Amino acid sequence: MAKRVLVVDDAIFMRMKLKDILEKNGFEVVAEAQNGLEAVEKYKAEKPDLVTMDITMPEMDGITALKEIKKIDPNAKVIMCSAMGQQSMVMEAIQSGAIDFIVKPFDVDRVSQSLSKF
Amino acid sequence: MDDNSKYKELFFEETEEYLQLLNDNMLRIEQNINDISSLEEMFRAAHTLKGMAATMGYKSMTDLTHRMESLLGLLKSGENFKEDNIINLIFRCLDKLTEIVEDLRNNKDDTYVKDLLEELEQLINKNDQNKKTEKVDELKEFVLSETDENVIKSAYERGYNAYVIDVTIDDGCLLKGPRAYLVINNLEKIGDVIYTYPDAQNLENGEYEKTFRLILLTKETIADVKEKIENVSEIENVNILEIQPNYSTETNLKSETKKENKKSDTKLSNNSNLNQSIRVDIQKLDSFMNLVSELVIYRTRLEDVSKRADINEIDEPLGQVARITSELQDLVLKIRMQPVSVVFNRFPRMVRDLSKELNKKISLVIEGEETELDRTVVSELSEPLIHLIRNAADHGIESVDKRIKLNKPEEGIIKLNAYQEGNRVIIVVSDDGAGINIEAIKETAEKRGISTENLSEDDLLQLIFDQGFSTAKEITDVSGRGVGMDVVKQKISSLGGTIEVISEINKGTSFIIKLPLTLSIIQALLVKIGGETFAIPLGIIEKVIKIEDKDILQSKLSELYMYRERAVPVVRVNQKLGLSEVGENHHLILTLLGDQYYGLVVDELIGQQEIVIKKLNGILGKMKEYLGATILGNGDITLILDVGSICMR
Repeated sequence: MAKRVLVVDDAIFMRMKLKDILEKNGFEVVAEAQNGLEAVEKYKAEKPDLVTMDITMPEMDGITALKEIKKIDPNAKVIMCSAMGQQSMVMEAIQSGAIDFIVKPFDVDRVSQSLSKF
Repeated sequence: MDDNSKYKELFFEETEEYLQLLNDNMLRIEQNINDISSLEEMFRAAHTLKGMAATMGYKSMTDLTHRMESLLGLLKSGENFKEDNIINLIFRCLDKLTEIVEDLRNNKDDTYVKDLLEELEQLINKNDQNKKTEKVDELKEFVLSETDENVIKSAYERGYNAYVIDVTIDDGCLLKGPRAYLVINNLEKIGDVIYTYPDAQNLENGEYEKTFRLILLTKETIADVKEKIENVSEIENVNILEIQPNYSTETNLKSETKKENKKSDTKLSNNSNLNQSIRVDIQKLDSFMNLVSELVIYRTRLEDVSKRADINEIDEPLGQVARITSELQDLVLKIRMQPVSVVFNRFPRMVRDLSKELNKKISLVIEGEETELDRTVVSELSEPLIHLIRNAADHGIESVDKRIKLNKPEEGIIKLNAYQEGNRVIIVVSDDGAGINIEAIKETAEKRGISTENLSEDDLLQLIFDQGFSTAKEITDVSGRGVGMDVVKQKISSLGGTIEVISEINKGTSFIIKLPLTLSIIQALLVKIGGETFAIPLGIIEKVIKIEDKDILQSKLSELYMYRERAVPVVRVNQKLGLSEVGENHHLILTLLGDQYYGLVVDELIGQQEIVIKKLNGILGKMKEYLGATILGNGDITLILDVGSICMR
């Protein structure tokens, strides 16, 4: 069965792109969220196998959302999507339990490779 | 896109520092290409700049610093290059880098770097074969401290395995720091990471080539550990080796590297000691200064009130407030002080370039670069100093042939000396060159219709500060377009300073610049003119003389006052400011501007006082007659006269 993924990003463009890559790699995107709050809600509703989480978002940022999701489900698998220059935030995310991170701008091969591990 | 704009200021500020560091070290390397510690410092600086530029998304800067880093890495590892070429190339890179940074400041990220990049690329590729061995070398420098060894031993006894793990990450990995962090984080879940190379700090900052090493204490098997690491993406290779606690042979083998390592370690820590400071936004400092000045004003007002009301009780605490405010004032002035080295630092490079360009041998001697001045003064200093040094190199220092003929050492010396004298700072720019040709000045002066008959040599010399006065026979790229000395003088005057010149044919020329320590708080003489109170900066006052109307002589065009047998033009300040005349008894304030005395007529002297200059804004700011305004103890606002501009009009 295909792994079920929740894609979180405030930019539609980014969500589209990620969804594309994910589906090519045999994942099923079960939900999308455009901010941290929505992400937490959708996580509760869908219980996905994997979450891709943007860091900088309105309403609630990715790190807070990650922490919230971890509270609900300590085994949640969250991959952070970061941009160059967000080192410290990525570190914080790892501390908070993110299992991996991918760096924007997305390189299709690289992202596929990361995903293949899950 | 990430919003990096708020880091911009910091980015540029730090970049400047690194550029300076690069230039300084490059000058040392030019003297000795085998100066490994300078090379290493440059290598690190280039690397840091690369990281910073990439973070900001500045492409050309990232590209250039990346190539520079590679080249410096090769140099550092003892690669042979044709010396002259490589040094020139690196200097060109530094220039390009400066250009890029300048462009970036102006929000342009399209500086042309292609040619330079290709040139660098070629050179790097030619010497690329050795690159791989270099990387391995990097990891060889691996030494365990005794404590670490003991930890391994005792863990081993408790049934833990100790693994040395080399993790190599993918070539294109963008966030190397978090990547390493993620690996370590994963490993910490199954054991203890007791050692990393580079150290944790550097790893987290991504300061490693491709491979980092760590030692893990764990009960898991090698295969399990390997799997844990490979679960992280962007990992190219994992190499795990089990170590036994008694592996002393390896330590012995590495003893040589150990020493070296230690050396560089101590050096690093020395460096970090040097830089124990905090960055403060200059605007915060300015507003701090402003607030302290206001505090001073209100203190004076309180003192005034207490004196008039005769309240003894308040005197003692007020005295304390006075003491504290003046200490605070001193402190904020000190905080704002910057050593002149901030400006001086760039000159060695400049003189080097000038000597190449002009084909002369010139050495620059800098003294007293630790002398401190208010930062506003320091930052304004560079332009006039650049001009003076260029002049010294171009017109002052003679060609090698000529110097030999004159029995002078082949190498000319330009000396830059700064020192404090009372509440002024003196900066002397001198050279041991040709000196200024007085006859040439005379000639030019006469051509320009200035009568030189009664002028002393010294007077003639000061003419070089006049507008459009250049005696250079041929115009070079470096200087000599006849603009400049007047600009230099203007700049120095606008900083509240003065400039003089002393010169002797074939011996050399010295320019003596005198500057106030600070621009914000000055001693002033308060005077009444036409019923209004004004402040005159004390620094420019030579003498105050009580006069009557009959002491003023009438000439055809102007009024004069005879002072030590010199005719001094009399300036009626009230007329200049459009105020009425009050009373018959006046005081004449003699002031020396350049070498010309002026006498300002004022009605009444009030007294001397320390005042805080507040800049005038808006329409008032455009009025040339005033330097600014100040608030007096009684709360009155008083304008500060710009004596220079009043007299010159």
